Amino acid sequence: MRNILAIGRREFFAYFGSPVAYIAIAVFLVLLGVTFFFKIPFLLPKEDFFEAKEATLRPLFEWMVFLFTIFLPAISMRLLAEERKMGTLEILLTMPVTETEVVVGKLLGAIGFLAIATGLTLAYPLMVGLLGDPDIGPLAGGYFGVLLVGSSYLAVGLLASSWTRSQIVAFIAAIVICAVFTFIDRLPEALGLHSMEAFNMMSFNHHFRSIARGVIDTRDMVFFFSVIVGSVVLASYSLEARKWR
Amino acid sequence: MATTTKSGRSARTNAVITALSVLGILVLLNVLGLWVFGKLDLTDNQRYTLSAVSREAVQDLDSVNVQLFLSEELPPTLSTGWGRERDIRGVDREFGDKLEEYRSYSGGNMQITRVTEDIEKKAGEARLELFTGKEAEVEGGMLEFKKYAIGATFQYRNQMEVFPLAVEPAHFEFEITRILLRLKEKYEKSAGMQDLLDAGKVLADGAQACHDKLLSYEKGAEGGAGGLSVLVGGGEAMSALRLDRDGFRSTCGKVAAGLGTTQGFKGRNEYLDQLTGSATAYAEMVEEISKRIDDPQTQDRALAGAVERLKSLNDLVAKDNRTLKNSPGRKSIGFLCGHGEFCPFREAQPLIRPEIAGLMGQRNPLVQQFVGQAKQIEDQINAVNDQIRRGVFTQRGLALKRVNAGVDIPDDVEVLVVYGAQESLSDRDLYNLDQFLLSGRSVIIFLKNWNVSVYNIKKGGDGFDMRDLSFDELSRKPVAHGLDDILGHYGVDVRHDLVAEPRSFEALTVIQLQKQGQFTLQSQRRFPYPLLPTFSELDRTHVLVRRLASVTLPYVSTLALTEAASKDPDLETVELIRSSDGAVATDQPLRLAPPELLQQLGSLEPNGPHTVALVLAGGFKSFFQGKEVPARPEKPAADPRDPKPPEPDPVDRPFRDGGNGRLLVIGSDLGLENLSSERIFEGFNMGQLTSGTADFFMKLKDYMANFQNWQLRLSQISPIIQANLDFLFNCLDWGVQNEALVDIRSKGFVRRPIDSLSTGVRTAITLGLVVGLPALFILGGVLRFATRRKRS
Repeated sequence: MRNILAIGRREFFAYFGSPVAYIAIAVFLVLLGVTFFFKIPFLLPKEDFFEAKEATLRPLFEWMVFLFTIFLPAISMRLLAEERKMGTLEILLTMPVTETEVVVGKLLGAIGFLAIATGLTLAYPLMVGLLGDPDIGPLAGGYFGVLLVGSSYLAVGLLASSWTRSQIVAFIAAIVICAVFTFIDRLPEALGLHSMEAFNMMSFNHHFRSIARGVIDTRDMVFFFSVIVGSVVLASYSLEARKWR
Repeated sequence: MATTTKSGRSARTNAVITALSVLGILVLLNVLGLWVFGKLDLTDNQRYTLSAVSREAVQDLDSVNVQLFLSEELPPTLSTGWGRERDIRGVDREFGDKLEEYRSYSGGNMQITRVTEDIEKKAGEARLELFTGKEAEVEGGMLEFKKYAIGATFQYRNQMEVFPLAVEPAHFEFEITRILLRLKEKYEKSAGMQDLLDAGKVLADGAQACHDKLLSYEKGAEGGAGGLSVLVGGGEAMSALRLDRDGFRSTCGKVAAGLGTTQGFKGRNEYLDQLTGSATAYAEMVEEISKRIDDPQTQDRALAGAVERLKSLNDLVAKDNRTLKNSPGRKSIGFLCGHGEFCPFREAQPLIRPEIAGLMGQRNPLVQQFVGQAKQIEDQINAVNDQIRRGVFTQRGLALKRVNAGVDIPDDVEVLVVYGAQESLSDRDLYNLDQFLLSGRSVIIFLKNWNVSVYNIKKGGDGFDMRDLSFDELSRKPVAHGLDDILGHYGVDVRHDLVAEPRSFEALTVIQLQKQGQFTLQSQRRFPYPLLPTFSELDRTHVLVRRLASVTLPYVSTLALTEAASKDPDLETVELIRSSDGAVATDQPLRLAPPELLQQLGSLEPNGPHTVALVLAGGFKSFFQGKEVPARPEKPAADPRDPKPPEPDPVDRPFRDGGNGRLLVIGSDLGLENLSSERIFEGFNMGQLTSGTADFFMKLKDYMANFQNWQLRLSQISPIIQANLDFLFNCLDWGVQNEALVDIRSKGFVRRPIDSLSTGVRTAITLGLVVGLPALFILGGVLRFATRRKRS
């Protein structure tokens, strides 16, 4: 556990050791604000927050999940791919740590980064709380759901990062996987087919929407837990695979 | 080239097996989770958790069988009309889950069976509401849109209730609990009127047996010709009918035989009387067909026509029997009509009687044209009222009954609603209301003290071109409903002002016309409008508003408790809805254009808080104590051409000088206005058609404008009306003493508005969060780097 925390801490501070993290989070906040407050015909066809006059942050969470499909793969792409490219992965693994500890530690570091980015958006519930009387349940559920989806994206990104030395390849692979599993519930509709329960069950969005209502359902928890654990296991074996040659 | 060692291969094999095992376990966990799961509901109202009332409702019924109809391949959306689509993905799962939740609390009392074969066909037979998708399929040589079902039937002993279309997860608990409570009530009450129900069943079964007999002739005919082919002279079915004339008479004569029993129950139950009426028509048609069979001159076509009429009468008998079966324990909500109230019923009488219209139209073509146009408007009025009554009230299980002005209130009416009266109630109406209240039942009064028109269509003018419309009518006219004295007597002081909340109000949607060259463009704009105030200071100890976050009351007036009422120990009073301290109530003239109104109200001194809704329950004294009982209005002279015998005079009931009752008064009509011929054809009388001038025709434009203004006013505040429906239903359920349901309904959807903000504040918040927050974060980073550099 100590190893995991040490790797996690190192990873977390590594993010904030360069201006990139600050710029990335700032860009995320700007985009989130724009998507939340502004109505842009065709691009953002929704009701303006002040016009809707509803003390809810549901649209904010939905946009957060959407932005995360691009933002979080960009954060996770370097986790293992960079170490591989620089050759530092071998050095790290000569230390008394297992592959799983490395993977879990790096994931925790990235989740810490996610928590900072998400934590900064707490200004929004604060604003809504001052203007009205929001239901705290969906707010708490929304944040919990966003963290679960974000952690799952990071885990998938970490897995993609474990497959290659190229950060770009890892980034594209993670975006594709995250986007597919986020919007897979919409696929039948887009293809003019019937709604399929199997697609719903595999969709990040479907499970997120359920939690964002303010209901913590074990089915949704098991789903996100499975994605994270599955990705961590596969990423660990992906690192271990170098020993098999 | 890298080679794989033996130990490497073995490690890889182990790793692959372990990884696959882990993934397999995870998949298994997800699949198992579909059956074994738990939920933690974090919402304020525990919106997704069954309430105690629902749990008790299911435990109270010793054996409920639920048949669940869920189409297998549901489309992702459901059309809700007006080109709108509703996302229904996952709704079937939620509905199934909700029923499972009830079953888990039922202690084995509830069984759920999922229909898996011929779902849509069986659902249709069970009277579920099927909806069509966008996909079409070829059925019997015809291209038909596919139909889908999401619903259930609930059977308890000999009683059945249907959840026809379950697409609104927020209302699942309310609807299911309502059905369970209704099943129990219906079963218990039906025991006391079993003889009436049995008599009705004899009639319906007789008609159904006759119907089946007729179908057997059609099926027996060569090639199975039936329906339309018979009408166009297929003939073989008619020959079969002629051959089996004795069989037809003995089977179809059972309806006439059954009528003998029901005649003895005449006057005991209005629903049985209605069924008797349709069954009498049925028996007469059977008699007519018998005569035609015997008459060799009668052609097959004429006989087939009569048979088709008999078939449609069977539908009517079956419908009336269903109404009778549903009637035990049903509580009606009486809506008083005849004083410009919101009264969602068909017109009792047409504006111009068809025979008179026909006669006058022959003499004057202008009259003929006027009558045609007027009939069109009247048909639209009836259609809209039907739509409101069925779509809004009946669909929610509320049984509405029209109570005409001057007429005694029927006994099965449990609550009397006086909804936005715009003309003075007669003394007799006030007397009826008074005696109704003192009989221990509930009276709900929605007051309309002002008739406010904002950017309505301006009437008058000489032209008849509808393109000359101008949407610039701004007016506020006082309404004299004549309720002030009686309400004052009960303890409610009605003030004829208008209340505005400076910080919390909704927007008004306004239609504007812009001339661009030869074209006139129509556009919609939303203006913040303080006369649509939102109140969040609600007395949450009262079931009516306990779970509501706020209520928006358009054009609302202040109410106050009289000193006598507040000191009366027999009376329990609740100030249900109050404004904030910063609210303004004024009876001074107001500039109604949105920007000017905001400016004017800004200059007025706040004088809140104001009460805008009051509940009084307990002992009331009659308003007519020591006064003469007002006489009933004179009945209009009987029409000699009307074959029906005149109705007998109602019996006078003993005068009550006091009694317990419940009174709810709200200072607004919630935005629902009267739509009736009387209102739309304001000022019209038959004499105008014979005056010899064409004035009546020129007035047609005003009548059309009246109708359009009604629609316009509705659309201006339609989101508010929608949001207020739960409050309205709460009031009606409270009235019929279904308070358990009130508590559940409000769990469904709670609108939580934010304060109305000026453009400056909005911009500041937007800039603060979109630009300020990221900039602050970047600044933090810069400071951190600077500090670190300084240290190093």
